Amino acid sequence: MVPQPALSTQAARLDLGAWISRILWALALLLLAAHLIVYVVYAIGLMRFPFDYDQGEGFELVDTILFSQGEWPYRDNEVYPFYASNYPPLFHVILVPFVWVFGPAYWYGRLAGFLGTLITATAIGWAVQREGRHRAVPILAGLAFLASNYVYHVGPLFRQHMTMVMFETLSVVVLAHVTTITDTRRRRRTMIIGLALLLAAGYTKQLAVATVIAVFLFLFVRNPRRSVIWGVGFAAVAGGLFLWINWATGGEWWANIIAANVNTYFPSQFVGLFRQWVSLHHVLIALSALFVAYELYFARLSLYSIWWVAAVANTALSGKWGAGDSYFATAIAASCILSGIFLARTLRGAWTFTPTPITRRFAAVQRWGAAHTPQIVAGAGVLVPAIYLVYGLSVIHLPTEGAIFGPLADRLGLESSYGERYAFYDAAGWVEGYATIGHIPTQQDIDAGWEIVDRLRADPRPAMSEEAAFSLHADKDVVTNPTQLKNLYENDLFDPANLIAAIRAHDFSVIVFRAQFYPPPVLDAVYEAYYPDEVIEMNGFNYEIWQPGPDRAVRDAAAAWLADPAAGEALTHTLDLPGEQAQRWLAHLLARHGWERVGPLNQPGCTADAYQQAQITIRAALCPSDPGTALTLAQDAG
Amino acid sequence: MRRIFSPDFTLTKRQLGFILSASGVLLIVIMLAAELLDAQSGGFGMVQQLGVVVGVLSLVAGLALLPLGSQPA
Repeated sequence: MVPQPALSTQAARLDLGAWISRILWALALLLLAAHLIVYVVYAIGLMRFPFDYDQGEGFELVDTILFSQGEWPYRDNEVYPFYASNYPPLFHVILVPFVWVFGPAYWYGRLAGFLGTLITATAIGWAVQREGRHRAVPILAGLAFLASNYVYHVGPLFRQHMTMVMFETLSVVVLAHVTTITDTRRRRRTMIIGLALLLAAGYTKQLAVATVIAVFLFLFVRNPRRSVIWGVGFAAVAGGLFLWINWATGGEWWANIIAANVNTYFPSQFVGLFRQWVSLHHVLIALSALFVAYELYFARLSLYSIWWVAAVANTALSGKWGAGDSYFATAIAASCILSGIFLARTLRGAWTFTPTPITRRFAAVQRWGAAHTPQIVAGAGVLVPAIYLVYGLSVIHLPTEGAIFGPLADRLGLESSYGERYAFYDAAGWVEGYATIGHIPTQQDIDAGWEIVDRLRADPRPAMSEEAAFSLHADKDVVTNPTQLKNLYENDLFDPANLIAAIRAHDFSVIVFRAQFYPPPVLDAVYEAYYPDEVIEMNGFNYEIWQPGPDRAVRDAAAAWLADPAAGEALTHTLDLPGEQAQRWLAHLLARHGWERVGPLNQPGCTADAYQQAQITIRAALCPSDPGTALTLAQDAG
Repeated sequence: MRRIFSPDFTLTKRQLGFILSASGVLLIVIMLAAELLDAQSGGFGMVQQLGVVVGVLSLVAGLALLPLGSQPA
């Protein structure tokens, strides 16, 4: 029998469509798998790097060490070593056995964060599989989470954030169907497991509060009685733990965990990050929003939808000082689940609409949809992988150096987004609050880190470092947690008098700055008592090594003389610093007091310069002396 | 109240609509009141603008739920 021409054309069209679909699926899978490979290489690169990669990582290691010694990291910041943590304990407690076995190291914290993201991706895939009943979409949904620029950034860091996201996601996945379980014993067991995971999320990082709200809102919508009963139980356990830790730490838990986290809010930072988040994840966000709208008007609200709304609302906190793109990770996980369910359901033609006044108005559309289900499903076979392909292309990020990534980046025409600073291309660009990380540290970076450690080892005194790694490697006390002191100071909860006294007395061998995130009076004390001796570049950041200046009597005398040079005679003092260091200190001193260098002066055997301020010119000379260097400040330069 | 806390009670679309609408109105009022109470803060700021947008969205979403009546939310 000769086939009908029309049927044959239709069959050929379907065949072509199926081939295009297969190719697109393969491309989407390949692209997202390539993102995963980049992520794994990056994670391994970070695990091999023995110093702080992102600001503050080392303090999480210090918290872990303190727990391993049976001590709380929530302590009085006003006494030596002026250190306290501002994070809940669970992530650090989990890592305690690693400290016992391997000693202080960064790799296991980064490994834990990385594994947490893999578990989250698996949970996302599992949720999509359970709700969508499709083979390929769950894999792509899980990979989409790992492909996000934001997840890539923070995933393999020694930070608790992604462990919180893991607990949040697991909790939501466990509790998503708890209200429909008819067997009472099984329902209670599921509820206990889900809420225990939720508690774990909250005690990993405070930001999980949005997921806690989402879960109890969901339970309230489904059955207020159950929500209240379990809510009271949950609050009793969480609150009891809170009160116990607060009692055990003499109130330092409250001050460091809650009060210290009330930071300045920058609305523009949130708006910038939100726009960037939308521009990178637009397809997933649009599908998620549609799915929430669908459930709101045409079905029952699921926990996934309520979680998504709460997580997106919670991104508003990314405008806080010290917050950043990581605050979007929970919203990304929720988006991957919702968009995955949306797409899987579309591929199976499994959309259902509860009859309501709204659906009745669109009865004709529904009838058309029901009549054309095979065509819609066939179209979705092309559209769905194309959506993941678009997403995979919009979040491209890639190291631009190395045996494989270098040639690959060249081939793709991708150049570093950070110029000479470090080799990393990021399609996200940069906005305020976006972490400038993502490159793989080099051997040069590692060498630079050890060079800084050598500076600390050169003197038996403790060092005050803005990052903990140098002190840990030099077997010294970790002194200060700068951002914590800054937060507490800005909330009138930290009196820096003792720390300032220690700085002025040169109790610290060196001070290592990276961003100078200390309270202003502490910085002022450092500027007065120390001077910038050298800069060592590591990871694209300049680490300033500040050495102690002359003793206090000399500093006070010099400062008094510079405040009113016309009042007295020339000032002469012997400095206990060698020539070059004395020059650096003097230049720092004069600049700090607003004196501008005019030019060199001729003074045989000495280094002399003229400095000027408001029509007054002075001579600042340093001459070799035994021991040290002789300083002269005189108003006779002209 | 006893009915709300019964073991088989579920929120309806209409009740959810009321809650969303009321929350939206409350949010808008708070944002406007903040402006009236602290007029010297330098104008209607970005947070207030965002608050009003979210409030309006919540109000509209809630109102649209009201016709759905006793369907379970």
